[in-house]
Amino acid sequence: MNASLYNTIGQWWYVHGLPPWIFEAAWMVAMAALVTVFVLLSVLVLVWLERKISADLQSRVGPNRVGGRFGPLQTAADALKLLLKEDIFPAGADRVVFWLAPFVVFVPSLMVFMVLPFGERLAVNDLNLGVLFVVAVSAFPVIGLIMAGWGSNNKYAVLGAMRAAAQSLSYEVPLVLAMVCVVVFAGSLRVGDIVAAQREGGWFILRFPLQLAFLLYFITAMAEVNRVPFDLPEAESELVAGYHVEYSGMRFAFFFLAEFAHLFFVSAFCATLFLGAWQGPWLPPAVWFLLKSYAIVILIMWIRWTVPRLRIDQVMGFSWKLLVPLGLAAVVLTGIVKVW
Amino acid sequence: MIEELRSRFGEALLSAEQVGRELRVSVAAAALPEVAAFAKEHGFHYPADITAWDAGDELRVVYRLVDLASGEHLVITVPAPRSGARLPSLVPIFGGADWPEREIYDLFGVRFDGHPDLRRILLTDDWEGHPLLK
Amino acid sequence: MTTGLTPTEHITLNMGPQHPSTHGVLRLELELEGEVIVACRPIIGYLHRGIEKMAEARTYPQVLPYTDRLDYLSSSSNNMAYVQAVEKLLGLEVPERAKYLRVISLELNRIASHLVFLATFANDLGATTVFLYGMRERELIMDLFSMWAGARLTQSWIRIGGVGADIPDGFVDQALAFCRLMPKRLDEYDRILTGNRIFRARTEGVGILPPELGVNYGASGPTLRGSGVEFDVRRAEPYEVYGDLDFEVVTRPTCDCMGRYLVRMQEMRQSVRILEQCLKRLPEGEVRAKVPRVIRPPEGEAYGRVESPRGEFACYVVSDGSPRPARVRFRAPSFYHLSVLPRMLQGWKVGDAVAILGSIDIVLGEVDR
Repeated sequence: MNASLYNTIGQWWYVHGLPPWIFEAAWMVAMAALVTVFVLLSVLVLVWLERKISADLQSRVGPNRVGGRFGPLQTAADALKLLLKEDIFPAGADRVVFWLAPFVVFVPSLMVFMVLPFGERLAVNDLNLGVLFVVAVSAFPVIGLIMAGWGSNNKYAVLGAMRAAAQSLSYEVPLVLAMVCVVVFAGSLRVGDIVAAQREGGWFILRFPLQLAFLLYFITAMAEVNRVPFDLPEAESELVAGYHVEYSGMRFAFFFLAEFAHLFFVSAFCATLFLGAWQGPWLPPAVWFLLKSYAIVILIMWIRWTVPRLRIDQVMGFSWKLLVPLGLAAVVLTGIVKVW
Repeated sequence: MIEELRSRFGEALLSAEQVGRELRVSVAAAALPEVAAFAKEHGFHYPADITAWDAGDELRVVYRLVDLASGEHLVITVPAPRSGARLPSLVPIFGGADWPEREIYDLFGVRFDGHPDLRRILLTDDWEGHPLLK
Repeated sequence: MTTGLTPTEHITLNMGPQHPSTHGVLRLELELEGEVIVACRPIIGYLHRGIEKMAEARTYPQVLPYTDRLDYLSSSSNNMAYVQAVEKLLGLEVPERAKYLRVISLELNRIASHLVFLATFANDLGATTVFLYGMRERELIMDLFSMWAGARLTQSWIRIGGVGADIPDGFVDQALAFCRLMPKRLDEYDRILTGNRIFRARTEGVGILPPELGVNYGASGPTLRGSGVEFDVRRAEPYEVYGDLDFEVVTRPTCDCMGRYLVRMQEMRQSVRILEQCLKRLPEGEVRAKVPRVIRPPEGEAYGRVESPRGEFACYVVSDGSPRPARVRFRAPSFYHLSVLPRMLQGWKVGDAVAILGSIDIVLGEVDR
């Protein structure tokens, strides 16, 4: 995780003449395990938070039994239930595709956490093409969604997958445009550099004209994680559950995990790009980082439980007719301001 | 209205009486479409209810048409035999006759000639008999 | 739409009978081109219990509890239609207090039913929170129902000759408190839903029902009034004390989902108005007329007509002079609304199908009977 830790242990290893590839492999495994554990714990918290927030908005109580008055262990109990359920392959499903789809969705949603800085030099690997890596990897799960829709051999699932593909493609464009604004402003694709640029001149959200980019990022991020008003691929009341309608038990849990992991990632990345990442007074950097991320998460949840859902043509039109032109304008504007 | 009906349909009008706001007429099956079209021309646009009942010796199919402007009801009763009955369909005149006619076919076995899609509606397609016959 | 170079295949999508948005066991066979609906075939009968047949083997009072199970969201209007028909056959005059109590019951039921509409319609469009808001207020009405009927849904409180029993102490105060609360809550719904841009985009101009088509297909109630036709049985043929009460028949000229939604929202305010008048004017006296132990109406037929929350709910009773009805027929508004649905759905998308179906507010209990 920490570059200096890597150096210290690496040096010790090297001094004792041990083969370096073992160290590299062990380090990778350890990091992967760390990220996985962090993500799983975050999802547990997020699901609980979502249920509590939605309950509060809907004048309900929410989880209040498992593990005490506020039901903190409710999600753990639910996860356990999902683990113990029968593993069902629907008759007529394309078994290989059906089996593979949850992993194709889940793995990329973990991989993106690699470049996320939890503190100063506290990222698994601060790639020099960090932003590009995020864009590339987070575009990957949609393939899994199409696989799930197709493999299920269910019309609702196919419709859901079609919607997911169309929506994901349409919203990636303005999402990338919003990130380009930030990259242009910071002058680097490395996430660490973007954070450093915010240390000198203040958070990017406060710097003209990146407010526009922030808005674009926030809206498209909601669409990317399929949240109301953009939850069409799942659309409970229309497509029952969309692409994962045939999934149950642990396979369903993977979709669920991926969705919430992705939700946390887009929020955390939003905090990184626009809200100064881990920087803040008094509190330790990791705490600041989590605070900012959760603030965005709560905002997204708040919106989700307040507004209705759009229709597919409205979702498409919103992106291509409004967000994409706005994004292009934002890039040009950012360039002008930067050169000025 | 009664006079007009009588002069226009003569023998086909089996009986007619005014009960409160209801004009109850009984017509022969063959004259039904003309009577219905005539009623529609005279403001009875709203097919309130179309149903039937088994009077023991015969079936009575009852069409209740309402004039929304004046609140008058026109109740057209058409007698039909208890088995193998065929009546002209009113779907071309009243879209609202579509499902009720299917229902009467389903529950009483009356066939409606000219109905676009005469299938059972409440019971399953493989049901035998017509349950509301006594 | 099929003018492209490659011929596209239509998919047939079975929506229901198990589907979260068909409001019961309705099956819609949708023929889709992509997401666009080319044709729709509603298939009903999954909830057919043969209530009309069963009624032939029951005495007149025994039929009453079956009527609760038709439109289960507003059982008192079903009770009312049946009781009205039987009373017409008997030529029975009901005490004044009972008439007022019946209207109170009917209007409370109208609000409860419209609240369920609001809740499910919002839920169909993805606004889950409004669902719980609607259910929250409905619970207050359910409390009132259980005060007088001991039941929440299947009340059978309106009986032949009057009502089952007088209201308990404290009922009027509690009902008046509800009348004071409800307008505030309606403002709250308007704030969260009615003006919402997304909600408007999903409902305005969607699912057009031209007034002539609606009348021709026998549509009624808010579905028809949302198309600008001022037809309300309470006004057209006042029953009980509706003739003496001051209320408006709400209409909207837009013919779309939004119009039907707004009609129902306004109707709840009108119902509150009616309730307040009734609760304040409620006369003292008997709540039930003298009814013979065995009811044998003279030979004849009667048509009881009621404005239920969904539209014209009517009951056609034929008597052959025996203690059991020769024929009991229920005219269910949802039945007619469903028959016109395919015309409203054509050319819209799957997402709209849910909105349009929600906006005509069907109850399968009365469709299938």
